[in-house]
Amino acid sequence: MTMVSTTEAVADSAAEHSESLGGWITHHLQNGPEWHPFPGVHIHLPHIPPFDILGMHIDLSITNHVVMLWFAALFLLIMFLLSLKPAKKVQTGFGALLEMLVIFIRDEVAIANMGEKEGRRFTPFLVTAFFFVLVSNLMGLIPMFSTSTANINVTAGLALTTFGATQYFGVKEQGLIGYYKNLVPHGVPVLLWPLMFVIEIMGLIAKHVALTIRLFANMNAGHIVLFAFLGLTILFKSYMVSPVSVGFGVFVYFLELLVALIQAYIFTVLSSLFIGMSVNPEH
Amino acid sequence: MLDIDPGMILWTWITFGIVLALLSKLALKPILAAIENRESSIRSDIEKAQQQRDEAEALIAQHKEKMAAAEAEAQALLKESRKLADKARDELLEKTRSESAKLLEKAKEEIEQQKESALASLRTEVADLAVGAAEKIILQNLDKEKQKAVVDEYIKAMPDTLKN
Repeated sequence: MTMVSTTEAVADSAAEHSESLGGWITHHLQNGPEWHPFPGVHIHLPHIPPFDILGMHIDLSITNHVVMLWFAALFLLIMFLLSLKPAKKVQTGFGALLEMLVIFIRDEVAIANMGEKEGRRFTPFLVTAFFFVLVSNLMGLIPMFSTSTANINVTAGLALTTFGATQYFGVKEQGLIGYYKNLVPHGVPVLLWPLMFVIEIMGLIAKHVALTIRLFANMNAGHIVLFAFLGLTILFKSYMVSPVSVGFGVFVYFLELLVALIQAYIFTVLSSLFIGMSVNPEH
Repeated sequence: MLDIDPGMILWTWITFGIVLALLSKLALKPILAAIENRESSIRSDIEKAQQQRDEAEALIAQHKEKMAAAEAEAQALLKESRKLADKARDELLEKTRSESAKLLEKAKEEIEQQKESALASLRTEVADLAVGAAEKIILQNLDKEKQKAVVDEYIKAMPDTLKN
């Protein structure tokens, strides 16, 4: 019965807005100035007047996804501060799981890709990135919340953080000239250096754009499939398809859990790899 | 869906930056330090345990060596004492044997002497008796037959011990 009433509610909310299936799906994924915690409840978020700097039109209004980022941040801080007890020699309960993940990221991601010294130095950054992306990914699977990492601007922001770290720490470790000189692989003839330099700069940008697109596309794709299955009831205008749509929806939901974890892991590994490459030029 | 919105990127940076700063200061740095402390204490504990094990093993080996040496010593002592006892017994036996042989020799000698003296005294007696018998024969002046009878009688009358 609950299944039927749930699908009924979803169909009703869609019918209310007299939307098409495609419109309904994009509506759930898009950023907007309103937060919908429950069907029919709209919370208007504060609007900040946009301004122009360096030819960019910047709108710092609080949107749906900004609120989701804040929830992720809050949840992350509460989770870590409540469950991890640094004074205890052995963590218990959820703290043990968190500690295991922290050790995993330190040993298998940071130290494995960046070496002993740099790995330890960047572990806090990588752990934060991993949990921030993971929590943001998983929030889309909880009712009331939406996925902020399904917004390309959020993933671009995160990837730019990694990019900034590679440039900043690369220049800091090797010097301005040394870093950009090391972009060109060793053993390339001097005549080819200008060409190789341009290609390497393009590769550098492409790597981080790929980092952006990968996370964004993966988080979007799962949600589109999930909503498409649930939207079958709207498409057919019948309750009879609800077992199929809910069954596949649950399947995709579990797939999404896996994808959320894997994408957070991949984001962390690639970030550590990129930073590791820029701080250790010989590798 | 793909519109670039710099405001959103800025919000992402601000949020991520705050999370990174707070989380690494409040949770990650202390927990990483705690983990490192624990790891180093585990490492040193393991090293200490290994060291103690090595020491114990060395001690056991030393003990075994000592025990083996002690046993060997005991064996040697036993052997030596057995040898000594054997020697003492042999000596004693030899001494006893030679003494008894000496005693026997002495006894034999004494017996011989006694026999000699007895034979000497017997001889004188037999001579006396023969002289007496001859006296009697001569005194009676008898014929040949009678003479013979007298000697026979005399011999018969001799004590048994002197017959041979």
